Amino acid sequence: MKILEGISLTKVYRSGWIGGRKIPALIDVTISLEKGGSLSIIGESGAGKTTLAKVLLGITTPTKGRVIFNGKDVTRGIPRNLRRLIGYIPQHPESALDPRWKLYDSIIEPLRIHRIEKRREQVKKIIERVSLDEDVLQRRPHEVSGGELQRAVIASSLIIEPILLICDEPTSMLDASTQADILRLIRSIKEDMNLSYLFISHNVDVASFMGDRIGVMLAGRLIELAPSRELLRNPLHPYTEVFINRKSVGAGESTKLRGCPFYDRCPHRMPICKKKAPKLEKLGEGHYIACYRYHSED
Amino acid sequence: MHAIGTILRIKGLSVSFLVGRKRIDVLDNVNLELRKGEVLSLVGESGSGKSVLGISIIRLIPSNTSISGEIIYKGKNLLDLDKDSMRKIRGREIAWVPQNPDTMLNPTIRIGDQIGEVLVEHYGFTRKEAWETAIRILEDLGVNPPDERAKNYPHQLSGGMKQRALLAMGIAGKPNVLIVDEPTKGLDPIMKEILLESLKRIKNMKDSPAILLITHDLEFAEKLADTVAVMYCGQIIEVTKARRFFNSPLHPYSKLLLRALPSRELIPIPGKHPNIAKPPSGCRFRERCPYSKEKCMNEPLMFTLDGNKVKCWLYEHIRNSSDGIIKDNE
Repeated sequence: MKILEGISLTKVYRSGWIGGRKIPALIDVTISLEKGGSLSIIGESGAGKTTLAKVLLGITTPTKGRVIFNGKDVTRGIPRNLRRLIGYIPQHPESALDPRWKLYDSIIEPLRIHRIEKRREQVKKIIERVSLDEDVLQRRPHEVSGGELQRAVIASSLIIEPILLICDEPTSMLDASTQADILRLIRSIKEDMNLSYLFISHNVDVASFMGDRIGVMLAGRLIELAPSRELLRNPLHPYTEVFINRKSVGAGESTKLRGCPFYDRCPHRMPICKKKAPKLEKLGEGHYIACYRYHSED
Repeated sequence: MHAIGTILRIKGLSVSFLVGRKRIDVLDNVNLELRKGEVLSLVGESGSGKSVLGISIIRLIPSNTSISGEIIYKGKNLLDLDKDSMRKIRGREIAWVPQNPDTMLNPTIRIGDQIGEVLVEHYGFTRKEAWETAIRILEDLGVNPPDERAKNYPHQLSGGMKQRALLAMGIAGKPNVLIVDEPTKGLDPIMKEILLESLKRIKNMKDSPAILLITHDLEFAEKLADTVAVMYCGQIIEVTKARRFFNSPLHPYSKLLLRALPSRELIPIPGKHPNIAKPPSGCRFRERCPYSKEKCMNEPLMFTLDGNKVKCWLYEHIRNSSDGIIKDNE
């Protein structure tokens, strides 16, 4: 059963005088997450990863497309009774917590918002689960380390016992050892609490550790999707290959509606690639790719 | 004793912050040598004192600090210099590239003018000459197109581009020593790759500066460093040739740190980095170390092994070998 589905999601931001300039941040992205599954999304800055997370979380409404959560269409916003089933772990924990509050108060804040009664022991159990010390709970965000802050944010997102977690590069600002610690924590929580999660990262190794499958985004589009091991062993899209092998091919491009987003940098480009962006199509078992090298125009 | 080609030598450097009535020792007896043309990467977790070492060298530390030891540059102890003499060295002989380009670039001045500022300030260039030089430096760093970027204001640039603008400011005065603090913070892998390219270009320049690369990004350090120095809780615990370090480091902490990398095993180091205000007695890593023994209650000496240094009792046996030992304060 699918817990989360995004169908043909497109998000166009407007800027400039009376919104005259259109900036497409997400173009026709279709993804789904099975119950109990894990999906990683990778891509460079500006690829649309965070916009995708925001649209799926119901923070922004998509310009086109639909979001289905737990069998219900939630495109126009997620009702409160469903919203409490989704936890969110942001990239910058320091801006996710109120600087004036003690960590403990921030952790239990969602209970107040969703009007959930919870006994002290239950709260204590979750805090123990993320290995936060008792004395740290009485401190404020500026008095603790980055790792402790991120643990507090994780505890706060777990306190409502969600069934889905959306993690937006939660460890990119942490040290290697703390990163390993937090990643393992999220993975083991998924197992014990029977969660599903979407994990956004710009590190390929982290993405494959965290997700059964990896989706690759470039300039607002999903260009390849495959089981993690398969994607690392056999990347098909020329961009994926560059990204995984960390080769440099110049700076990233801005999003555009026409043509393949990798056209300017692609060593295999063909005339068709400039005219029309390739669609994401199935190639092998669970392996999807948007590239004319692997399938024809129609 | 001066090693050949040493351009900067830090001897017994200790730095303490005075917070209220409390005294917090941030750096403890640091000894480090930077050689001509080499990239020395200083690695360690956040809060270990890496950045404090960087700002101590250029004497930008806040006034509530007490500092002792020596920082020898061209036969002079930088800690003895008055403000004016230090200002002549800072930017011109020893340049510092700060972390966080967002707060370190002036949002109201074009990138080209910010890069050229040091030339106007220190070398008597006219603004026009400085502007042209700034464009040439951007070009040398592989920025394309350099004249367009020079005209931009900071908010018009990406994170990677801002970081390269800071690098350009750093090398504009043709320094002998370049201190680069956490250049990869918040950059995605492709931006890192572009920044790496620029740093390699600096390394290959004629009369390239010696680079002190302060970072917690070990994968980035691996691609650039000649030597790696590891800082843990305010102390240097290992100084090793880069190739050796990334294959078989000496200190148990270094071994565990490498194992935590996503490209390796992603296994965290047990325990927590100690609070620098209350460091453990003896070896500061002993509570987390799998090899910890009775002897570790005493502070380890710095031992040498094939020219590499390590502060760990595991290497005590080499006392009898031809390598011998050197003590921390020798």
